[in-house]
Amino acid sequence: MTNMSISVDRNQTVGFLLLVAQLGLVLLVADLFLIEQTYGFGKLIPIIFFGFVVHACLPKEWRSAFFLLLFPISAIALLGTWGGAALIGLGVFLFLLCHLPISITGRAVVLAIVVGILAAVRGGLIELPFSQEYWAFARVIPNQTLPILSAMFMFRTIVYLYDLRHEKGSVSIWQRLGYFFMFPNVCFPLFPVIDYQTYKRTYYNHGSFEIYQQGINWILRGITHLLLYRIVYHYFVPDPQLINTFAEVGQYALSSFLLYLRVSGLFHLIIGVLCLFGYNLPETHHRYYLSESFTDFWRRINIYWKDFMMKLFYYPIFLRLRGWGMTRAMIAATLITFVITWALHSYQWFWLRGSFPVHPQDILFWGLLAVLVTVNSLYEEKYGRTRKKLTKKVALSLSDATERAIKVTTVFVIICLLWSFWTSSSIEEWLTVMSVAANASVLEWLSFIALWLIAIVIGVAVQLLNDRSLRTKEARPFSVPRRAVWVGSAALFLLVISNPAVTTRLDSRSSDLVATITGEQLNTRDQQQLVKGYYEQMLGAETSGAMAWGVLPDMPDDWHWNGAPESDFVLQTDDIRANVFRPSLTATHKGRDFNTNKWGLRGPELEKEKPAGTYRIAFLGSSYTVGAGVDVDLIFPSRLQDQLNDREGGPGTLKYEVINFAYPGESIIRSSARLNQQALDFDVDLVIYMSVTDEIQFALRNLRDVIKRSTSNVDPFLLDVARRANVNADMSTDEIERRLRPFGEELIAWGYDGLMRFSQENDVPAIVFVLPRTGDTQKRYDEEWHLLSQVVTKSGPQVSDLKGVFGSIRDRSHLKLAPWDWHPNAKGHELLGDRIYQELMELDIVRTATVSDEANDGQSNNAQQMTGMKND
Amino acid sequence: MTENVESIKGALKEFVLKEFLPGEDPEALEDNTPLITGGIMDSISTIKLSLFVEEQYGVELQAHELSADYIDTLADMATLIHSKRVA
Repeated sequence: MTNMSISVDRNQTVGFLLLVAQLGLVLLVADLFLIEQTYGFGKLIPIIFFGFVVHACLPKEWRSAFFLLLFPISAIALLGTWGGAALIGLGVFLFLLCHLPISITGRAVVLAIVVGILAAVRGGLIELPFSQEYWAFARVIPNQTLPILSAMFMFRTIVYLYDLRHEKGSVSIWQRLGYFFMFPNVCFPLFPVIDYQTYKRTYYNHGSFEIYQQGINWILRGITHLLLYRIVYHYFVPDPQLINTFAEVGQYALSSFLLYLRVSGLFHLIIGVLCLFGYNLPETHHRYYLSESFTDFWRRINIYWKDFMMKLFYYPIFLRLRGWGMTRAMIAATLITFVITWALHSYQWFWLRGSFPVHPQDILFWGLLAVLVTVNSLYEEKYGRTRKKLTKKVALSLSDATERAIKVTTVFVIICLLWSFWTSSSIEEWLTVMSVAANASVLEWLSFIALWLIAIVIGVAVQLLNDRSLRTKEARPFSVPRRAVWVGSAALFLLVISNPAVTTRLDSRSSDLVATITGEQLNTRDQQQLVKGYYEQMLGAETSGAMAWGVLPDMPDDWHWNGAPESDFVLQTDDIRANVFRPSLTATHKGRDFNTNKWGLRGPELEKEKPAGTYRIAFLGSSYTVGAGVDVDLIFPSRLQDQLNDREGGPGTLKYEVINFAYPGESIIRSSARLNQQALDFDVDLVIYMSVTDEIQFALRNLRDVIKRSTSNVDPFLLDVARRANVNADMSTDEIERRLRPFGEELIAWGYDGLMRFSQENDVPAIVFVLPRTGDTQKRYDEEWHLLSQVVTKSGPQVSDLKGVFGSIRDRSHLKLAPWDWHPNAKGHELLGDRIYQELMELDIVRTATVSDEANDGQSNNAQQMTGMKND
Repeated sequence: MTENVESIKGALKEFVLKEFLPGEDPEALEDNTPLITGGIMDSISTIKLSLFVEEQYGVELQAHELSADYIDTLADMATLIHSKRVA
């Protein structure tokens, strides 16, 4: 007897150690792959790991309280002391309102009033009557506090009040509080709608090791979904403006649906973590890409949402209307439920993003899905549906497998189309893309049908093999060691491929793939959206793949120009430049001082006439070079100036002065004009143009603005391009960009010709640096370098790369200005400043002494010598 | 007519087998087989069941009772219906 108990204890200990080891490996994968760093999941990882170990070792009656204790720890770790305190304070206040000693209806009314006030604050309708000083104090509370509070309470309060009305048995205060204060919520604003009854019912309702193992499995599955999402996001999402073939239309529709992997990944991760603390919650998504019908799709995708809608709306509506007869009541209940679903999605968006979107796509998407689900429901009500079997004695027939494969592939294609419609930037964009399919050749359609048939054949084969395996395989009892082998192998594989010792041995394609999935970076399209947003004050969050599910933190309303209109700070020009900063500006932009001198340039006051013994360097470029959000003395042009001036110098040493002519959103076609119109007067000695990835896209937008504004003073070349592209001011901006696209290379080549002409005519050397964005992959940068090296070399200016300038920073998000802004922060500018200084020294392009001294040394740095290309 | 829990369970089993599990071995459907959490019953079958219960036993199931907490198994269903009938 004693031997048996020792053996059981030993098994328990080994099992627990195996669970801890698996969790450690899986969380290490999450850390190395920088999973969900936007809100700081990395900070939550030690809390999850050590929290799990301690929690599992505690007596069961203490565990709920300990789980709750992890919330303040997480809140303070992620939001800081004030942010955490505000979150807890407001949360407890809302919780207490749910327990006011009045009727449930009365509590709902009180809560509705308080939530209405919070909504007014969230939507910016209420100006808080605080003094400036108090407001400064309030600013220590991070912006994500209110979205996270909303994520905790926006749906759970509704479910909680509903269930309180019918609650049976006693529930501890720890468990009640734990329902709202689930610590993973602190870094996941988009959170599954957890049902209160399910939360209570599933608490340790199975063996604890089984629940913990399930949690680890789901965390790993969530990570896998998120890594697949990154691959789709970076490699498969096409730019709608560049879609020309039927295959690309298919890619557009498919990738839009595949991007949902991010949501299913997040939800698996969240529920997996909750399982580690005994909450044996059900699966949130179940093979939703394999739905057999539209009702099946509704049942499989976001199961928690479906259950929430059924419980709160569908069943009550149906029961109220059942006097109409089953069919009518079902139709009405389904349609009303979908209308509410649409409204609640916008309600959720409002709390997470601050605006209540009413897009025609949303309405049409939910409307179409409602009709499809209703028709499907009626069919199933009349003819029944294939259900899960209790026994698996009968083999799956070939005809059943074929029928299922046809259904699954058909539903998949239709959902892809619907999804692409829902997530497209506009109906116009979607129709334009689909018109490509409408004009596809017979061969393209035949290829599509052939692919479909291949998918059906594969589907049939997989089903038959799976069925045989299920019927022959004996159900084995749960075993931690067996599961540990699977989880451990998968986690180790991911750890190995992320190891630099391995990635350096891979070919460039594979290593780029690994680099892409090892971090949260924006794809090309979203980077363009963010840059677009910078100068147009139009963050494309609602149309961007990365943000379509509210996964990026809220950009504060006052991020740009402290909330004031941009027109207060810039002047419009009637030439290609379009805008210049107002002279002598004193403003706050992106949370930092943003001042201009009397010439409207970011930097100290200076005169046009160059003082004796001064060497002037003109910087031209876009928002990266402007450096808004970073103190002016910390941006890379200033750093370069300091480094040059700090060098040891001999007799005749020059004083270096950097003048920043950069303007956001600027391409070379604008910069070359700015050079002639603004920089010429300052007698500059060296011109540095900072080209950022996607130069062509910048150029297209610059010319697009000229066309939209009907600008007068425009170079005849640009007018000729506009004529050849057949564009006019009445067209949409997307249409103009699309038509100009074939002229992109020609445009930037013209810009670089202009730069070179300036250089030669004024005997001023010019150099172009190709600057990677903080979120660029190596592949993306190499593509840009390749393109520019071809275009610029023909024009003549020296072009130099800044490859790997951010390479020392493993997590690129540490270089971001803010979670919602990928422009470089002070650290990014420091890296850039150092690198540019090194490059200039290597090139020996900056004069180091007065001209007379150099003449003695026989040196000359004139423009003619500065042609050619440095390619390291 | 007052029916006991067992006879209600029997009638429910017959209904579930006929409507939702045609061709299934009756032995495989046990009193504690999870029907909602086990994926056998969905929203349509739940409302069908509620209409059956109303028609057969004159008992109206409330919206909150159409959940796994109340009707996940035949045993749960029978207990709920019985308690409503005697109340």
